[in-house]
Amino acid sequence: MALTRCTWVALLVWGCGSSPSSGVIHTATAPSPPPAPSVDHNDPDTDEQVAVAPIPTAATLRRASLDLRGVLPTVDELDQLESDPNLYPEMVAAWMDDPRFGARVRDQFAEVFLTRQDYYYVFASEYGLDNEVAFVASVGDEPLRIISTIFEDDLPWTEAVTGDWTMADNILAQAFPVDYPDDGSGWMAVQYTDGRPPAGVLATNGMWWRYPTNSSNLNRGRANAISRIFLCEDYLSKSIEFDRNVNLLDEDSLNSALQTNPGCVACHNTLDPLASYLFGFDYRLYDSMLDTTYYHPEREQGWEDTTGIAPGYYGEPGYTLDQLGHQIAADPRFPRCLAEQMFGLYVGRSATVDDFDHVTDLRNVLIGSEMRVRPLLTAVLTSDEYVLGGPSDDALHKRMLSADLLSSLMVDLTGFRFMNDGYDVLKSDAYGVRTAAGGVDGVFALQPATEPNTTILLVHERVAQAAADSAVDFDLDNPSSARLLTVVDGTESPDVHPELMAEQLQALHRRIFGKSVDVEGPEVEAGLALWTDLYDLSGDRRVAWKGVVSALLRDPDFLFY
Amino acid sequence: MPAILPSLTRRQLLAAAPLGLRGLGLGAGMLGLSPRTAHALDGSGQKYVFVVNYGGWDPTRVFAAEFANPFVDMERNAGLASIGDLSFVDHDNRPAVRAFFETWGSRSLIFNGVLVQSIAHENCLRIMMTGSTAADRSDWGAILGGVQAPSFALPQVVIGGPSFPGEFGTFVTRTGTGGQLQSLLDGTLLDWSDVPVDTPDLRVQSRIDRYVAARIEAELGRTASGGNTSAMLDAMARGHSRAMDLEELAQIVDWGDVASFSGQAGLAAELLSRGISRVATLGFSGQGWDTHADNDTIQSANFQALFSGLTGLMDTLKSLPGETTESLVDETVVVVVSEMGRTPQLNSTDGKDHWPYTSTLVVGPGIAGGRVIGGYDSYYYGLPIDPQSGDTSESGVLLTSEVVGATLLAAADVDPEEFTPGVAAIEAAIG
Repeated sequence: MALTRCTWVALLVWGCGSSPSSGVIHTATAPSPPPAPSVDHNDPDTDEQVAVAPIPTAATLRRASLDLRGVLPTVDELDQLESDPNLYPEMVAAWMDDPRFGARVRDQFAEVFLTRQDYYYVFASEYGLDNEVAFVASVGDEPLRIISTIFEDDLPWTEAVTGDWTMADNILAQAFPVDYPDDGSGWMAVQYTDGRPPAGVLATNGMWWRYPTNSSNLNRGRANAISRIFLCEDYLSKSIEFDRNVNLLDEDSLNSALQTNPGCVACHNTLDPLASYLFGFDYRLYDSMLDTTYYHPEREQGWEDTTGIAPGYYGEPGYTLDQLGHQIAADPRFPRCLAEQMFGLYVGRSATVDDFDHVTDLRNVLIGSEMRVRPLLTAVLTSDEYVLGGPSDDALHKRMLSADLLSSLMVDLTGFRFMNDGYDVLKSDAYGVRTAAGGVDGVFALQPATEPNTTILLVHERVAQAAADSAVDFDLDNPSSARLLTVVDGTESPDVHPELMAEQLQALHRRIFGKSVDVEGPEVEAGLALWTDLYDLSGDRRVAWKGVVSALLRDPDFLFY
Repeated sequence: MPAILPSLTRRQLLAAAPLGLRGLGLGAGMLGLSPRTAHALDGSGQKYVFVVNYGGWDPTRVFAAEFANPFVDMERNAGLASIGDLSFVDHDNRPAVRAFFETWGSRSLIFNGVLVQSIAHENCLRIMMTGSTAADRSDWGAILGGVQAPSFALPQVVIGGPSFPGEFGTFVTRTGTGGQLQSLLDGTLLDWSDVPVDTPDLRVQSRIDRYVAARIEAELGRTASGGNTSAMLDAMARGHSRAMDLEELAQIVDWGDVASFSGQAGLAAELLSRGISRVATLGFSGQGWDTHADNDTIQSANFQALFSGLTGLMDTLKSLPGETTESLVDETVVVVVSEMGRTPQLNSTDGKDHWPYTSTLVVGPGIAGGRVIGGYDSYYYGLPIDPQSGDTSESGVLLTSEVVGATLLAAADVDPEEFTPGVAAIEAAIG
């Protein structure tokens, strides 16, 4: 059996199927790696030594570039890979240093954290700020900025729940109690100054504004968010059997049931102690919504007078939020959950039972690298589940451009960002068409669309029209800095230098689809026919080129990757 | 520049071309304005409007007349009212409720004691709409639209509220609440750009549409069936065809103001009347249903506004012609839900908290109207019912949201077994 689960990184670092080298030092909170399978690398009968890594193609490079940078690979990068496919891991590593990498991480993990909403129950005006949309965007991105910083700086994943820092920009600095410098600008790492324990995203306002609680829920919903996001255990995925013999309105009866009734205990035995860590974020809104601004150490013991359940982590007692962070970080489910999430986010489908071994390999990469996240990401992006190649690529799982990707892609390809009153129409429902484009709003649309529907295609059509209109005008007016129309100058026609038009169409296919087509091939022929028809209809060469470019930007080869 | 013929739509331009989407075998039944095979007035011919009240209403303020239950805090000055076998809670602060049932009570069926197996909003919403916590389950509206997708340009349109499209994702369209769909359809989205951009004229757009359709067809032709890629291309082909149908409709339908419930209802009625959609989903939030404080004031105002809106919806449906009947109201089932109920007793802030039993209102043809099915026990838990008679019965089945969903499917001549395996419909609810 060929070593189909092997990854490039595993080959480079450990040798596939083996454990990390014995010299690896683990962080205090990282769980120990599981025993490695015994493989004799000198035994010719051990087929696992025959590591056949998938060969990356232009399609692979396109996928990796979109996932890491949100843009297509350049023609030079495509040429490099095709001349030497072994360059793929190096290119992937280099793209993780790209300035656009962090934004892509945030967009990906927004689907997990669901903190990006158009509204929270605290308004910018409460802080004397006048830009509600910008404020909301910054709040939702606070936890995601922590995550993207971990990836950008290749920090241990444990920082997500144990870090003594958060991220803030000028807007949050005006609202939240953080030590943002007076002369600061943009996003930077800061610390809260209100005495909250160091616990990564668990100690951020952005997280708990998204997941509020009330006097009856008592942080249980928040506890479930923690469990879902960091342990991949969603209590809400289980339906609840309500025992008809329990009086849910009698507090004593209810509390007794939560601790003794089998139908309740299964979840509440672990959920309630987890929730009890979070009473410092128990907001009291009788006087002012600004109570939500601060952590309240004096309320940490609030569980005593409410649930009566002391903080604890699956049977292990604890006291403060920072302890919870360390308990999560030491949980064996913590690295496995990230491995599962990364598989889902980057391969584009949920891991199944058949993927168990592969996800285990990915988890081991994470553990073996002292919980640093980049080796895990590299492992995912070099796995054969990810790498498209060979004759059967139709059998592999393709993905559709997300609303976020469509935005960044258009900017890079055409220079056009579709902004409405200063806001990206593909990233907002208040100012745009985010959910119509298949995006997530964090409330009613909790999962991104994974296949095209009517409104998604309408969005693609209109965005393509706008981008093509802008790009063609720019390119023909500024030939020295043209992005797409790099061959023609707009004077050509089927009668005047048709060879340049063919060459231009060939270049567009290479740039937009990553494909090499012949100047006399059917793709170019179809493009020329389209141009000719559009010119006949409009009598305008620019209109014809705009139409051709917009058509290519609506092509299945553009939409899927 | 050659003159553009304004009377021609892009779809007509495309259809006149040598290679239209009909060449893909996709267009024949999807043209929303084309004559369709008339359905007999059985369940398969019905249309649906789902009204989702997110936040959790208090059934005891309208649906659950628990005056005899000492465990339940009923509202002061509320009284029991009946129209035939249909009983409800009446209050002077909510004349719209009484007015609605006086007019539509004979067509109204109240399910009481409907169980959603959770008390968390997002989870309850999913369970109420799909019968399950599974992420891939389709909501009832998506199923009802999806099973007749070839007959409608927009099988299910989500004008407000949530959507769980599941496997029927390509048949579900969100309009957006800020005129998004209209701007997408008529191209005015480009006017939203901070940088001026030109919209191509219709004939140019039509030619590009034809190119894109040909590209999809070519890719489908070279892609092995059965895989993820071919499924994506199939979805793209369907979506592309529907997009062009809709662009044609942009000039006919007023997609405008859907910020208000009456605006949502008006658009829903128009889409159903024109045969564009089979199912419309609307959202109603009023002053917010999640009344952990000041329950009675807010719930009362919300119910008054909701039933006023429902009366408006029914009147609009009544005023429009049906497909096979005189009035659209005779072909349309209105399903009014909230994802959870509220505790039977007021809390210390005069609010009510989350409760896993609630009520559902169904109004329309094919439904055994004029009655209440289900009820609550002394703990305000839902009572089991006999599926045949609809009477409460200790040996009956629990009236879960999945059972209600299976009943809606059965009433629409959709086999519930296909979507809710092992869950029987309440025969007594089907008229």
